[in-house]
Amino acid sequence: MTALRKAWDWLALEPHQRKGLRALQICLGLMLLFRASTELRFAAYLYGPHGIGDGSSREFVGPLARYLDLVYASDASVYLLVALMGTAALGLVFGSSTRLATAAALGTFLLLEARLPLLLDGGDNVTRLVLTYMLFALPASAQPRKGSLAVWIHNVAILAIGLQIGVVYLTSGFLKATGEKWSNGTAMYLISQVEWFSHPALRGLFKDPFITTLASYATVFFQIWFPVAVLTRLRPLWLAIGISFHIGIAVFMGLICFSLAMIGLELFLLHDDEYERMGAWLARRGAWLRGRLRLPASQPVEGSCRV
Amino acid sequence: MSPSPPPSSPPRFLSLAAQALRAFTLAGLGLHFAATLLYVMPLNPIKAELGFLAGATIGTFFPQNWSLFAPTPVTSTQAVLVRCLTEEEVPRKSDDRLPPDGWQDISSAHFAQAQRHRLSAYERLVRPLQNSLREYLSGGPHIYPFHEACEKGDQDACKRRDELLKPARASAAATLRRIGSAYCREVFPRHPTAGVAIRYREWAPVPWSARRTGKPQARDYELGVYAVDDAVALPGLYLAKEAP
Repeated sequence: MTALRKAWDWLALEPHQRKGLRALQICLGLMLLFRASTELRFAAYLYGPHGIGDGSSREFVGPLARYLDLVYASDASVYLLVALMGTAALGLVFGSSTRLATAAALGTFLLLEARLPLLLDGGDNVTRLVLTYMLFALPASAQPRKGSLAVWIHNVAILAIGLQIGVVYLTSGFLKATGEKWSNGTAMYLISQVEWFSHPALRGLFKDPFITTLASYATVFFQIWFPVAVLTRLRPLWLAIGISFHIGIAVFMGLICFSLAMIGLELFLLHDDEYERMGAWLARRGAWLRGRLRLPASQPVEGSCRV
Repeated sequence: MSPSPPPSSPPRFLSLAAQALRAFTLAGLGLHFAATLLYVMPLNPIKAELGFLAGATIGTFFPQNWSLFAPTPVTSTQAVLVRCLTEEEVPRKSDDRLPPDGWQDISSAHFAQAQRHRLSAYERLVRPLQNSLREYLSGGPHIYPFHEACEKGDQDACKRRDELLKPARASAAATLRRIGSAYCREVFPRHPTAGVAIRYREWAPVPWSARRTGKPQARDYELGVYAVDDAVALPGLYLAKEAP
């Protein structure tokens, strides 16, 4: 069988990354839930008719903006919009009506983005793109017929998400490699001095020449190799490093939404059989732990008597 | 009762159409990501030729920017300072001086809270402030190539950069004015302020060689005085004070 035939069958026969997609839905759901829960109180200030945002949906819907922009016309409707994003996020987290939840999350997300684009970061950017691709993926509970068109479209969406992750890492790593501060190893020291993206507790750490140089080089190396490493047996290692890296970014740089989105994308890349092996391993460890903690099955209680 | 007939396979033309549709989606995916790469990569000979296609497609419907701290990371702390002005303090002439005291660094207040409370809204609430400031100073990522070319001595690029900077600055200033107005109205509810002065403060990074002993040096730049926006919604974030 030729490689081309194999690739065609990979796309045509069985839906892939079902568990990875669920992990991604959960992470993006948590990210949007975090946004909704922290922004709801400030919705009128950020998006309302007298808020600091004055953007329009014209950018992506053209003349239809006349009608869509009505959503920014009252404080009540912008509160509702943020609350709707939170509800859609819950759907993604709990896996109920995931296609509808994805569409609602994307719709509300686009409307909020159009109103105040200055509020967003790279995590929001990748979330918007991935939610668009996720519209074509199979709902969490769907059981499609083998070889059906729905399977093909799902797998093309999976491929699109994978390629998008590759673009993110490749571009970011490539641009860093061309930067002077990254190549002279002081980038992490300089970033650690910026109040917005740092924590005072770490400032001293990056004054160490070994830590700052190794951290700067490791970041570039990790990002450039990411698209290649995830296609090899190094995938679990690379993903584990990526997840740790983004947990560090959440804690020390405070970029919670960006980190949640990126962790979701990394979990997406684990294969279904890797999730099954991980689940079986956890079940074995759980059983072992329960066995160690369990008291002997029946011990006679002192003072009791048998009839 | 006769057995039900076996399910018939779809007509040949339908099967062919399905295969064509499959091939079409795959080709579309390939084109989409080729255009995406063209859009996100730095200027190169292919981008110079075909970049307009990527701009019209990816730039319009799938805009993205992955220059996360690259090629040059953010190196200085930038902050917005606000001074709420009473009717008497609003400068009448261009050489009238602004009050030297009473300036509030609202960016740093957000940074400190965000560092203390990682799961709070402070980090996100500071973004309109910081990103408006960046837009005011640099005009946004679409102007970067003109900045670079201008620095290398291209006069046409300088002219184009200045043209593009004007609307970007006007838009950023409008946002800064609304944020400053919200701050003044919330902090001084009993003392109506007539104007809001905006100042930009930058702490330059301490060079690596001076990392043990050096202290960041601050420089201030005036971004203008604006009439207070009396209609702007209040964030419910700042504690009220008695007088400016």
